Amino acid sequence: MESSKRCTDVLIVGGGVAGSSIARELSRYSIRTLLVEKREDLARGASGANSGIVHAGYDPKPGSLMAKYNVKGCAMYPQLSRDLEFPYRPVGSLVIAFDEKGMETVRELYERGLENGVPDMEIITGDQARRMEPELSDAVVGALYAKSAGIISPYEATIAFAENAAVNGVEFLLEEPVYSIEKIKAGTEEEAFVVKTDHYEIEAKVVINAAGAGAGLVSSMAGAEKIEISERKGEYTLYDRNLGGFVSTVIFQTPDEAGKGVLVTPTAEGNLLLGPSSDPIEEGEETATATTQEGQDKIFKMGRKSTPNLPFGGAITGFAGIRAVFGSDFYIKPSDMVPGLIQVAGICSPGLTSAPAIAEDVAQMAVQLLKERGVDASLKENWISKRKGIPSVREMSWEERNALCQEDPSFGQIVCRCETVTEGQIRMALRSPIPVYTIDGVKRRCRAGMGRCQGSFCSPVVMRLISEAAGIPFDQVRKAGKGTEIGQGKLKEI
Amino acid sequence: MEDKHLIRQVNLVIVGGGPAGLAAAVSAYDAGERSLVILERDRHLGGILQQCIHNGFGLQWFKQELTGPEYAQRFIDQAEERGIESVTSTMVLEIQYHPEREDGFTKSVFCLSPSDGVVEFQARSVVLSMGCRERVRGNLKTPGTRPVGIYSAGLAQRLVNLEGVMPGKEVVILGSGDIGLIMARRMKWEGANVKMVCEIMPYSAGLARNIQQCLIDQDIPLHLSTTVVNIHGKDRLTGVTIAEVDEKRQPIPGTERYVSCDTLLLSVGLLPENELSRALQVEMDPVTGGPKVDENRQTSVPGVYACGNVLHVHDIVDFVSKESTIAGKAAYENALQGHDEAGVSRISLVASGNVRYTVPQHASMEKPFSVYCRVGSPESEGKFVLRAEKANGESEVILEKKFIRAVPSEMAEIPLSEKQLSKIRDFLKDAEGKLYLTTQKA
Repeated sequence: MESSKRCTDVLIVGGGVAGSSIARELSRYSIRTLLVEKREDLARGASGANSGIVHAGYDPKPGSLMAKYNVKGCAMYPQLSRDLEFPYRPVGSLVIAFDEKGMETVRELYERGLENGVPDMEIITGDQARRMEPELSDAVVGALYAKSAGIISPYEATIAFAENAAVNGVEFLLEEPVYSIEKIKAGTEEEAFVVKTDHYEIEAKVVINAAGAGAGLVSSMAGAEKIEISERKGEYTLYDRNLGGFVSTVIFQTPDEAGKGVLVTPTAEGNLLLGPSSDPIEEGEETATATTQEGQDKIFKMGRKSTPNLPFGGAITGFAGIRAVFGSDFYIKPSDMVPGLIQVAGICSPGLTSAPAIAEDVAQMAVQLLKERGVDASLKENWISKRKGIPSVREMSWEERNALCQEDPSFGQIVCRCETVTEGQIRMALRSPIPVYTIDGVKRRCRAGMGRCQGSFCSPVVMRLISEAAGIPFDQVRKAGKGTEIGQGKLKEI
Repeated sequence: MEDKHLIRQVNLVIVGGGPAGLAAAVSAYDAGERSLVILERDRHLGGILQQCIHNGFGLQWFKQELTGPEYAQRFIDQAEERGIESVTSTMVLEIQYHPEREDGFTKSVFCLSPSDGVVEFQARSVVLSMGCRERVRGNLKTPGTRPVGIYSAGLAQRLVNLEGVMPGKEVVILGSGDIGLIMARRMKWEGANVKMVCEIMPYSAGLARNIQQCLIDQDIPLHLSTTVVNIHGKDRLTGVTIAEVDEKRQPIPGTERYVSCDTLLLSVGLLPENELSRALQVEMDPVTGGPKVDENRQTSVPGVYACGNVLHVHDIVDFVSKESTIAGKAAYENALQGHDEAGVSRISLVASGNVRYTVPQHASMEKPFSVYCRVGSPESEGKFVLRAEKANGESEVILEKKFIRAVPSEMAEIPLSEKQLSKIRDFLKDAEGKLYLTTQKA
């Protein structure tokens, strides 16, 4: 197929939370920015399947990039969630200890937090912790309470960053995996990149590698430094909304070398979440995001240690996410080997929390590189800082629901009964700045199919709305990426 | 802009226009109720029956074999002939109970529809008939990947029967509930290779006639004590690993077997949809997943009744109609009274031994009624024994009813006559007492 040519100042590779928040930061400038994502939607890697925690910042080693960006990012989220209208709840977090050794860790974390500049921390007794969280185990002897921690919907935050960037002129090309990056002499002396994807040949002055688990591959395509990403798998169990009040804060156990341990937390949208496990992924494993019996059993056992009444029933789905780990810190810097390439790699936990702060610095790096290349990267005067989200009929008062219905009756037609999502909300999702015409895409934007029946009732209606909006035949509507069409041949075809 | 919502007063609101709600409405009307409305969330009345295009419905109630849509249509016609109002595309989101209201309209039913926005129906009586939903993979915690091709049997039924979409060609079905059995046959008839039905229990959860007609007659193997332990495939399902299970339903190591397929249908149980009831703080039965009711199908909230699959999951719709008739008539009588009857003296019915649950869970014992029950595991050549027991432990057998075979998939009915009721009343008098239903060898 003839590939169509694009010319841009900055090309971002990867539509996770890092790439999307960088896109938003760059959209402040009067430059051309383009983002390519290999999957059919944003937040399809680690950004879509994680704990959704805005960490306070007492975990990372003082002086590390993680420490710097975590604390800064944590402070940015309250305002960002208001400006961009994505779910965020400042619930605070507890790191609980079961013995003196655990309390030692708690005290270490507290000290580290102070050094990192974490505000509002307190070491509390087991009884104080249980007063806050009645479901906590009697075995808990004390805890670190960090008020600044919160919870967000990680995919909705990613989508919000991206949509705001798109409204400000950033172009998003989805389902476009990068398969080559070449350096060329553009014109007389200036160097540029030519990046090839399935359908495009993109000339870019600066390339930002925010490819998550694929960052190593992108770096090697560009002929830059070797980035060896090791992947770890985190498994989760998501419970029904009616268990969302089981706990009210994020409950961690004391961390170990494998990560921050299993947590029990409410989600920003009112479910109860348990996880993650932390297991290495063997190379070439096709099913890196598959859940396992062992993983599910393990997190349940660990969750019961924190909260002994954690119910066995009431789970509505399980999932697994990949953590792209590179060394012991984020790797964020202009490439030493390939000028014009900025590496944003190894963005594992606390990557979600750090992303908006990382984005500010990376945007500065990119602007600097552009200026060196003679591009006038000045701030726009008409930059739009706010994004209108899709209204949540479930959370509205009766007066608000009635008013919305009078304006547009489709907000009175419930499609997803479990999450109270109306046809109006689904139509809005399908008209958003970066529309994704898949069942999962709709689900991530307005929660249709996210509830206890997992789309058993509403998916045919969602399919019809997608079919109408995108002009796709009904049976060819997809769940997610290529090859996930719902219809498989015809009826009565033998 | 209109921000004040519409308020309407009716004697009786029926939440759900499936078979239960329709039968309740018709019986309330026939008892004398003229102020009633059915609220239905779908675009049409009839509920899930509209996608059940197979036959086998109505043998008990209409003494005739009908398809699901035909069965539904009979009741829709009855409701229309009587001029019973129904409002479709209308979803009830909340029911409030205001016992302090002196005009008797103690229930406020809030709903949302595209045509009217928010409407509050103030009612004297409410019948809950929201039906049930299917259990999903997440409920089972089946590990593996999350590809396309895994559907609840009911969703697959809708895709095939109503939307004309073929979801796959190589099918494995987990769970031998009736919908799974029906879909095994349907998929085969539509050209799919239905490789097997796996059932974790040592017996089927479906009706005997469905095992015969949908599996045996179609040459589809049924693997008992077998479950799916892993799911494979990145974008589309490529196969499942099945394994035999021990008597504790745990997979037996070494029995794992890979079965390639592009579709996995789940028919692993139904859950009464009681989100509204729970929010209304109706007392629930943890075994049925539905409200606890008396012989009139009245819940713990006065003037609120429940019937059909929202109360407990039925095996055949004819029993739903029968049960809903009781609820509809009682709801009318409550509305007629003008005020909610404060709790009459209740005697609890307790399921014990192999009896898993009873409906009703308590009764006033004032007039003859039937106790419906389900056993936990199959049992042959036995009898149901209903025993009254005083608080001091003294007890008396009220009745015994023999059976040739009792199975979990088939509900049993035990009628209580006036004679037996007076025996209960005489024995228990004012003493605190309970009725115990159990099974024994005949």
